[in-house]
Amino acid sequence: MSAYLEFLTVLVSVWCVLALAYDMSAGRTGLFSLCQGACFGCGLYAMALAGKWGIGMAVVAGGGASALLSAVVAASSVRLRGDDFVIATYGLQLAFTTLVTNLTGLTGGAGGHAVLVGDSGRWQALVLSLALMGGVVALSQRLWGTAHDRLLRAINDDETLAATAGKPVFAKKVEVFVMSGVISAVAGAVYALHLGHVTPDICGLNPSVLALAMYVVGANRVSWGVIAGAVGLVLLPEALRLLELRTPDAGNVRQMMYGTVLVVAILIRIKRGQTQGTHRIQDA
Amino acid sequence: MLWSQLLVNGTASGLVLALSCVGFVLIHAGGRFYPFSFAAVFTAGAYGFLGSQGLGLTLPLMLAGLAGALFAWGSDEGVFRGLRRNGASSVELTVASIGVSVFLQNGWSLMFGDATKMPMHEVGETLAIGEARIGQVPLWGAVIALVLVIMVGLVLRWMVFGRRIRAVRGDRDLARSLGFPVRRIEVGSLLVGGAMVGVAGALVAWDVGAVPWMGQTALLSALVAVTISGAASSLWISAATGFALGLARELSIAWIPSQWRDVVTVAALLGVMAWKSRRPDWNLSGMGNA
Repeated sequence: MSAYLEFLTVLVSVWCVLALAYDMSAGRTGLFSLCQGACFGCGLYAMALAGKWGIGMAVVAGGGASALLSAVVAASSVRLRGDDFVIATYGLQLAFTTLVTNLTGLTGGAGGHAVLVGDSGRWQALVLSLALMGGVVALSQRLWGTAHDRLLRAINDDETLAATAGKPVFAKKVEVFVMSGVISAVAGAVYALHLGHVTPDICGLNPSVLALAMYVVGANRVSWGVIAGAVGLVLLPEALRLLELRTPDAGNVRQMMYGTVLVVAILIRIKRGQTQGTHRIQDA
Repeated sequence: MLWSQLLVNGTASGLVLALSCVGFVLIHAGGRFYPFSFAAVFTAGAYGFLGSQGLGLTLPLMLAGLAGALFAWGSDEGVFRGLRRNGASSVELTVASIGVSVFLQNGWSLMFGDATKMPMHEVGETLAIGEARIGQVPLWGAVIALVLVIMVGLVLRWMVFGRRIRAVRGDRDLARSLGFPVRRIEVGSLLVGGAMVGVAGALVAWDVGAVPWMGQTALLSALVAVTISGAASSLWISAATGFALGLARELSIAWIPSQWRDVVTVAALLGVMAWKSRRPDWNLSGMGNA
């Protein structure tokens, strides 16, 4: 397999996992988060720092760190409604980026940190990323239509009604948010294995926005739609290679593309009646 | 010496942040959601100012204000109004504004590069205030910001246009049923808010230069300010919060390295949000006349 094809496979798999993890919290429970990048970053840096003791150990460390982070975020902010939750998670994402950029002794600062797992890391990343994607798709399909899924949708549709009916709204939201965070961290650990070097950019605000865009582009409440959104948004910028832009320009154009896609996708979703959030703002 | 210097620096940067918070409140009032695209409007003012240097001070500042006003109004008219017409929720508008912000900030990066674009002014003599010293640029920046905050505050308090903005911010439906031209008032709010944010960006650029991502710090402070003051009312509390955050960021240097300053604002934001999660309807405006 050529290096480029290998890179694309890992990239698509990892982003599918991230988009599905985002779908678990945003799509099913209405928790629009901007700290997906921070959870992803827990996995990235866990692999960079703990990879020398074994891949399994690093995955557990990343998942554990992300579970802790997600639990803290959820416990303190999950009661916030709508855009207040977006803002709280935005703050947390910036705090995480500041932390990994400035803890130079531990993380290597802006220059990043090498992942020391030997030459077999890339093949392991390929196999693990495909296995992880398969596992998360299966989990997502398995949860579809279960009592757990119906309760999440009920919470998403009318949280107050669900609470009045005696459903454990707070506990379920925390559970889903932590699960989404742990899956993102495992994806981060696998991605670090492939990259061989991690930097704060990889787990900043941009990945959070990209995961959000993938979720928004994918059809609401259908896992395959989210996967299609992820594949489309990963492969679309590859077309930029044909334009032969300078590398920094290509990065900017890619981000501009994501921004445009995000706005257009939201407009299409609203027109189709796939709305999110209860506080509607209508112009006459 | 250290404390008085930090106090002077903090006052100067706090006043500019106060101005940007006032602008954010007005843009928020015009659009009725948290506009993350604010960061790009702030940067538009900065580049507008730096692009027109050599024309004195007043004209570049006015051009920066114009750039800010146009971007605030243009993004609302071109993107958010269409979404609102289709019944978008505040979450969807906020998410769309993140898309607009990503688009514009990367656009700035593409046009002007990622390196700091420096202002073309000579480092003049510094002024002594007690044991501390302050340069002419930050001093004038602080004075201009203070004057603009007071002016906007007075306009909103005493003039018909200002009272109408407050009325629409307080209860849009009631204002409409009373026959107020609601959309025109909201456009006015967006234009004035955008101009204030543009000038705030220009004042920062005049002092330390501009980079495409410079609006993020101002955005963080503005989010804290709006959350504390409550979206529906107090401009003064928003300005005071912006000022306090600017001051706290500078004073924190006495204890922590300067690269950790953003943590102060982030901590304030998370603290406010944690508090608000316990009391969803809480804000300072409910505690007094704004």
